[in-house]
Amino acid sequence: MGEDSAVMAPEACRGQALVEFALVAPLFFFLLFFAVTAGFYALERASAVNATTAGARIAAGAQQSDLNRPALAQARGEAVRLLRSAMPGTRVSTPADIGGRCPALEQIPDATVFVCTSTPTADTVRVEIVGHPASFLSSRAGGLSLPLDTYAEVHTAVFKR
Amino acid sequence: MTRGASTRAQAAVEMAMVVPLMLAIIFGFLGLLLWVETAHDLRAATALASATAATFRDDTPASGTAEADTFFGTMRQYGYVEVHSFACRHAGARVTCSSSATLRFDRTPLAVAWPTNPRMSADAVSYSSAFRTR
Repeated sequence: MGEDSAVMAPEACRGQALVEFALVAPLFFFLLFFAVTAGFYALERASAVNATTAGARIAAGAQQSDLNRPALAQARGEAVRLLRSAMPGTRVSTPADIGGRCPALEQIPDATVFVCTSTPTADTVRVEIVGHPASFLSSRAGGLSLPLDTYAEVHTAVFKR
Repeated sequence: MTRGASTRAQAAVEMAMVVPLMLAIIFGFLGLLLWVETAHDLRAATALASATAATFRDDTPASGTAEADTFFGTMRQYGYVEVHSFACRHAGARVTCSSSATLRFDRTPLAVAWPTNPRMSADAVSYSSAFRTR
């Protein structure tokens, strides 16, 4: 091959292709994993919003046993049921399971989500979902954490007696 | 210029072209997800407000308070959403709630790929029952 030839030798072409592949492949797989992770997270978040909304609608009604109080326990139960079917591999709990208050996001371990209810004002109830859903591509140990923290708030429809 | 220097320059130019494109794709994809999620959140809050409104017989001040408590109480958590309007209308047993909002990308890092702030709206209909109104 001449010194000023623009054509590379086949061996050199193969070498260059190999180097380019080695450079591009990690980037390509990163983008692929990123897209899959973001897609899964969007799905989990949409499921959480649906669960909070469904729970809030139940919470707005009165308890069967006490018509002066919102149905918070039933709301948690429905939200837990919806989340368990939407998030396989994630432990869905309520504060009652750990004996009280809704834990802060930082205190919740991986692959665990809590469904909490509260009454921010005398006339409103809130159903909140907070935690770290299970994901095979993201974990706090790996430095990539995609937590859930969403709620729905609704004015009660409790008929005061 | 030697062939080695030329190849390195070409690689640098290619990198300078590809990296911004990759970042734009990543941020663009994230922005699209946020757009879809926000539209879903707005629909959910509007539907919840219409369900609340359906527990009232008419457009009373108490109904207006309950609808607003529900809608704004739920939307308050999204700092990147600017709500423009929200209203519910009773027509017999049928209650229609409508809302509109802007997704403010300029309040997020995604503004680098999304120079405009998309506007979105939602509607929800509920029917009240004579046995469950106040």
